[in-house]
Amino acid sequence: MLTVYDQEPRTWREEEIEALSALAANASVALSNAELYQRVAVEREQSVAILANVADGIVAVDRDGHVVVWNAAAQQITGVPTTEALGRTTAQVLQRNLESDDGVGANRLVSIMRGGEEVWLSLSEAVMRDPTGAVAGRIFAFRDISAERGVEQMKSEFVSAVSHQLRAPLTSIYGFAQTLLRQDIEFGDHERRTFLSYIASESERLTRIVDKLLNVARLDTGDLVVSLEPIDVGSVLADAVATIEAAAANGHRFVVEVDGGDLRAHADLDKLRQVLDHLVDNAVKFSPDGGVVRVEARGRADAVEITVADEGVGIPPSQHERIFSKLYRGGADDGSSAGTGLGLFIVHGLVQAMGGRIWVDSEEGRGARFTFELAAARGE
Amino acid sequence: MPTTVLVIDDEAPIRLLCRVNLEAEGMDVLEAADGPSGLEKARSETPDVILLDVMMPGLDGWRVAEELLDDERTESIPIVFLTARAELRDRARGLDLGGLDYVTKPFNPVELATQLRRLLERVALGEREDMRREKLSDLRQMLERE
Repeated sequence: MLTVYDQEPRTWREEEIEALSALAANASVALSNAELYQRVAVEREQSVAILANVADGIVAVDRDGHVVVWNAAAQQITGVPTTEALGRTTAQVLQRNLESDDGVGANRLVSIMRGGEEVWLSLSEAVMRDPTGAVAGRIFAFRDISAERGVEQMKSEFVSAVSHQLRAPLTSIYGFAQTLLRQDIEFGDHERRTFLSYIASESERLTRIVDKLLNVARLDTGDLVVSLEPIDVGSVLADAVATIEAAAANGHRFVVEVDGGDLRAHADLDKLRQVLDHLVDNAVKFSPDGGVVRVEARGRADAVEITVADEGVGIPPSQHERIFSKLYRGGADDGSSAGTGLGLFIVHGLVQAMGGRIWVDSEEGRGARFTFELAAARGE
Repeated sequence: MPTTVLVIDDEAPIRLLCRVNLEAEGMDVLEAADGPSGLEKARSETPDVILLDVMMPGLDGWRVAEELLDDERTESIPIVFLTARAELRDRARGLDLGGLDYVTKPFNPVELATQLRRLLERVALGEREDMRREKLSDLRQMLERE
């Protein structure tokens, strides 16, 4: 409402009233516009703030394909700064078109290069149309899923490696069962017993592999239950070696050296046996030409140290860290050597679960010394 | 003359499985527990066909196959790969190398003799290359479908 006063009360002329009405109308429009601009400005501020803080990369292009929005996340994911991207096409900025050929819609898997590295994006696209229905622009939203893809790939490699391991004992079990079922051969007692023993022992082997996998799964999810108590390491060592000696083939010689004195450590007996069994198994496996396998235990200040050493093929220093990871397998890289590649991963996990640590001292061709230490339980 | 089969596999039970079932069908079986002794036996005995395990410690099956095919004494002996690696890519690799067939573990040893006999018949008819090409194209088709 516009109120006008004159110094003296008088009657307003027709044209004055018209002019004042027009002025009032304009003022009213100007006011609403000002309010509108302010609202738009506030909303714009809000949009900018949202775009800046959203985790997904948001890119908008106009009808000619030139970038008009390239938010902070887009900059971070693609490595291309907003200032460089604005005004150019996505093809110019990313060396590939983000626009899909067959129309918009659900998330697509798209790869881009970021500084020499391949990055995988989960991308969705929406089209903006103007009132006539023509394309006025497009909006893309994307996330970096390279990490998830990496994990997926590792999982599938792991599953594949495991399936190979399971097939080996299965072959014997299935094979001997089928053989025994043959109607055209009369097998003697001795033969039958041999076949059945293989079925039994290969079933046990299969069970051990499955158990190993369970261990790995438990280590992964942190479900491993470890109960620590003071354990005399010396006697556990002697036991472990005796078992292996009984089964060993290749003329390995076993030497057990246990320090005098109190060698009690905080350990879980079952897990400790698993660790020792595996390390001694490996020592035999990786010294195919025989030699001496030494198992030693010695007391240190607050710990008990146990070493398993062989005179076999050794491990190059470059691999010393990798060997404790999930898929490492000694030998040719195409996985042609036996073993699940999980053993040292499990050993490492078990030692850590008991509060200890493990390391290796080795060079190619010069054997390997695996040492792990556990907290001492002296005088308890 | 009975067919002679050389089985090269590091696992004793597998060798036994092959021996029992192949001998039951009138074949002669030679065994080797690793690559080097397998190569030696192949060179000295020239068997009619070689069953070759891929995953052996030391000299693996792929390398043994390469050496067999490189040596004029053994290059014409058909090779059948025994593999736990059931993936198509691995099977194709064996064929690409020059092998003629593959058996994936676990396998039914009772059917082994028939498979080998069929293979040798086609080899005798000069169909070696046809066989490999057929199998490779089957595998390629399956790979594409994946």
